[in-house]
Amino acid sequence: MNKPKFRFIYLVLIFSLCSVAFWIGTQVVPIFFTKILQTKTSAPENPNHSTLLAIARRGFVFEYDMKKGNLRQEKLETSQRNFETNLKMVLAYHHVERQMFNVTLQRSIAIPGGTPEQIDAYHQLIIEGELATSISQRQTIEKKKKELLNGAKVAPFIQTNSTMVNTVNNIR
Amino acid sequence: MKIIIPMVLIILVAIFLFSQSQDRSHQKIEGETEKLLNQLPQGSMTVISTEWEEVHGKTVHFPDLARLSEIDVLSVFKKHEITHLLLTSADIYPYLSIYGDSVSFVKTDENLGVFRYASQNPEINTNMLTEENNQLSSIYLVVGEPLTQLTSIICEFLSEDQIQRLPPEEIFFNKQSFVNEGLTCPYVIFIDSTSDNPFNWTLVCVPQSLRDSIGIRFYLLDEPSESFVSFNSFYIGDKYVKLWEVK
Repeated sequence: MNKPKFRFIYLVLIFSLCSVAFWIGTQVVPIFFTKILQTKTSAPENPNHSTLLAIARRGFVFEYDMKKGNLRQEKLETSQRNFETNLKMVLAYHHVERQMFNVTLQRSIAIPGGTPEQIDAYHQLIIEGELATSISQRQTIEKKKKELLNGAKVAPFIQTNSTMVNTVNNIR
Repeated sequence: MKIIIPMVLIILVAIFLFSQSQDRSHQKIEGETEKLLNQLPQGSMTVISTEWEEVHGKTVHFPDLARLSEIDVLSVFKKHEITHLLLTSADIYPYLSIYGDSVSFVKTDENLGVFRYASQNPEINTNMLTEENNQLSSIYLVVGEPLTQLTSIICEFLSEDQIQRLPPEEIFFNKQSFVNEGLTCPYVIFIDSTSDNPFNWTLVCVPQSLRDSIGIRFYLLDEPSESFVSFNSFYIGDKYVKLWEVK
């Protein structure tokens, strides 16, 4: 007599547990995936790889480029003194993993059998090439390079190395 | 069987408490918003972004609120008899490009040290290069000694075949603002430099076209205005809320 009754209770309990498990799943899974996406969003490409490529593409004029951004004119406005606090409030929404790297940039030019003057002139042409804004300018510079080398081989050399310093979770 | 019944009961109670706490925190935010709106003078009408739930008779939704300028909104606000403006940190965030997901310290053979800040979601399709699919790939900072001195700042625009490095028009750094003249790119950079270590800094980039938006002018920079007077600021949940009175 008691057996069917217990079986019924047992089935009800199993059903309750399954319902509860399903409910927990619907609550936890979206939270879990949201957290994963917030903290582990990966870049479409390795950001450090693109760093090295970008630096190398204008490697010989790197210092010249940085000088262009030298700050000259300064104005102080008392009303803007809270902006760092305000900025922090907004940045609280930015959840990413921060990657940190040390990068070295080395440049050199080797022309076997070339004179120091020839190397200097070639160096100057590389700089002019990196600064050129039009295709015709670049073509002219390439022509000058060939004339300067007069058949000699050249190895303009840009080397970038990087090491990871740290990775920190940027959640504030 | 004797063990299963108490276990199930405990689980049910835990789930009930968990769902109640979630509901309560949501209700708390809504309740606090309503409490705040109740503190405003009788007949007040507050304009809010569509992110917020409307409170009947007390609020009006306005899409893209943070990106509009004072001139854009003032006549519309007057027409709809809006008395207050409410903005939160969540309203501003979508309009910012944040650089700092990858930070590199670049040391050159000429002994120049430069910090490079990159973003996983950079500014894309800029007008700075003729090629499409270009991006503001990174921002470089030259920092002097002590580390609170900013010497130079450059934005780098990159596409498959083109590269351009130019200084931004305006920079906000360490309670100071700088304006660059000459050949610049139309961007404003805000530097969160609250740490002593530039590896921990975050750079925020905003197109110059948004410089005069109410989100940037009022929320981020606290710039004074004759028509929008700061009324109150406070936290509701994790949002930092600011309220202005429309004069």
